[in-house]
Amino acid sequence: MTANEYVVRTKDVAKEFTMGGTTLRALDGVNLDIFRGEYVSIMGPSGSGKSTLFNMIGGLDKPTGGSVFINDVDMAQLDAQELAYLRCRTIGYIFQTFNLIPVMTALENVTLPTIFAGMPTDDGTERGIELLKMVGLGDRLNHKPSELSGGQQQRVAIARSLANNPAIILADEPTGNLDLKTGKEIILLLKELNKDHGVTIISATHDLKMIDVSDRIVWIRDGKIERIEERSEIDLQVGELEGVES
Amino acid sequence: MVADSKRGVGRQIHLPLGRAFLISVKSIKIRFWRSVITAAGIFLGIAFLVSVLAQLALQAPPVPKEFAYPNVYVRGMVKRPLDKSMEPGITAKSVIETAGGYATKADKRTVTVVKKEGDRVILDFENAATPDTRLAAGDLVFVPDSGGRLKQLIVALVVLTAAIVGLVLCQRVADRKKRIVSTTAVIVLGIFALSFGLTHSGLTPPKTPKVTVVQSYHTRGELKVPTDQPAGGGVTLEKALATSGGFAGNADRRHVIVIKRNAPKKQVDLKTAQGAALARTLTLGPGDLVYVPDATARNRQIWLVIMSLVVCTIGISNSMLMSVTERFKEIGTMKCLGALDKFVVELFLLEAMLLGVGASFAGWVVGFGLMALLAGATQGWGLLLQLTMVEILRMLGIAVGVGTALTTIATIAPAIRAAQMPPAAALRVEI
Repeated sequence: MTANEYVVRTKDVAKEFTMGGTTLRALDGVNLDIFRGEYVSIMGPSGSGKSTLFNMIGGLDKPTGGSVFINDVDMAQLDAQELAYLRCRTIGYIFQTFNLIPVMTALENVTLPTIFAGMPTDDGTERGIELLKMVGLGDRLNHKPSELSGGQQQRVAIARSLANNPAIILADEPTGNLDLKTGKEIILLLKELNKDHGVTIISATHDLKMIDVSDRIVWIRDGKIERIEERSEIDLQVGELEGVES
Repeated sequence: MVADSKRGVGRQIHLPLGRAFLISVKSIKIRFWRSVITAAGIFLGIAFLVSVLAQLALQAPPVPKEFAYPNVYVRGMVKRPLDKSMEPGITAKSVIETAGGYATKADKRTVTVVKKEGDRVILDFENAATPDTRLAAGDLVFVPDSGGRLKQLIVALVVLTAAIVGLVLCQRVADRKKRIVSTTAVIVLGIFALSFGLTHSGLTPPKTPKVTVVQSYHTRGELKVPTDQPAGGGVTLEKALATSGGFAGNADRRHVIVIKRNAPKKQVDLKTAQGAALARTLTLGPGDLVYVPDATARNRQIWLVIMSLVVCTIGISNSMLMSVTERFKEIGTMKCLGALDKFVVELFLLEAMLLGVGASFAGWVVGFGLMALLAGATQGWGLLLQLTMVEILRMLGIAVGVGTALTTIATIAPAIRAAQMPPAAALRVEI
């Protein structure tokens, strides 16, 4: 790993979708640098392009213009095998809909990335148990996702994202399907990981509770960065913003 | 473990095939009922295909049975019931004498002669004026029991009384289910006892014994005169066909079937010089059968095989397409976790192959089993002896081969498409 202070950099990233003959510009020249160990929230209303930006940074889709650098490596230059390596070990993903494999138990879900990383089964299982204990699900190892609550499923997903010790955790609306209290717990868990393990956390969200824990907030509107705020600048406004839905 | 590339990123390792195998076995086991439904599509197609093939293998009729009746028989109320070898001049009276004469309870007024063909002649030998009758081989003389009517009456009374007592007792059984079972049992037992008692009271002649012989060869199918001829003296296939008047209009000369009594089934193509030469040297023994299939029937069967293949293909593609598409989201997730395209494709192909092998094997068992049961039950179980091990194994090979190949081919396209989708697109798919 390079000692560079930036873990993610995007340069003029653009993405266009063609639907039924009309071209939609979801991202329009996004320049964003994210420091190692930072907690960044990408905020914006639905349709602002934050999920698209999330997919670009995570290498889940290809931009139509500009480039994304992870640890100073241009993702556009990577072949399928290198991209898979990156997704497996450098980035951990958390989704709004959890995206657990429904037929696998919590432990099997968490162990899956270690299988893809080539870790021996026993080590993978040990790692999985350790992670599930860490997120407070040590007694739910052999439950299927359908037997867990939304908050518990998201905890499994967080444990899974950590399986191969990634440098970055990408979270797309991690609290979108959760109630207020559970959402808050998940946010605190992410913050804890960020503080204790030094994992960079990038979260696309419109949950204002996130502002409390973020180092920086990137506001996106119509595919463009509207403004970037340091946590210190908005500390005073949090109380007023809570409860206001954007 | 991982060689770093120039760009500072490692290359994801290829997982060994064994790992994919374990995961796909587990996947089938975990979604067992979903897999069963997918497999059912494969199973039905293959069962249909195999049943058509089995029908083709069982198209020849069973070898006809030949019987001989070398004796005349005396049964019923005589001193010594016997089988007497046929000599000229035997009559009903003389054969009763040979059997030691009438027993004490003989009913001389209704002596019955059962002819070989099944006709019955009733003779009143109490009356001296009744003429004697000459017997032929296979005839049976039956002297009824004079007390037969009384016996029948007693049997009927005893059985009916027992049945009524039994039924009354049954109605006192408390449990409804047990009551129904025991009532049915009493009724069935009663009917059985009554019919046994009535037929065994010395009034009904027994069946004429017959002896099975094997002496002819048989020709069947599309011939002008299908025939049964004595098989001595080395009759060749060519001569047998000529004796049968030659081929009929729509005879299938390419697939003449010869079923030898003690040798595997042969198929001769009489349109080739080689087949014609074989027809001149192949001799027919007793109990051999030559079957000439109908050419139009064969075309119909080929058409059926093609149709069943089409049905197989559509059913299997549909099952596999569904089972891949409904898991797009899962594929997207796996790719986010670091799965290579190749691994995703491997996973689905292995799963398809496992399902294909299992379901086609089951399809073979059921398709072949049903056809064999049907043919055996309608045309005699002896027909199944015409099947050779090679034919059975060939059907198994075709079933498993076609089933697995179709399943795998039907999976390749959707699996590759799913694996190559950008993860973001695969994750967006909602089914």
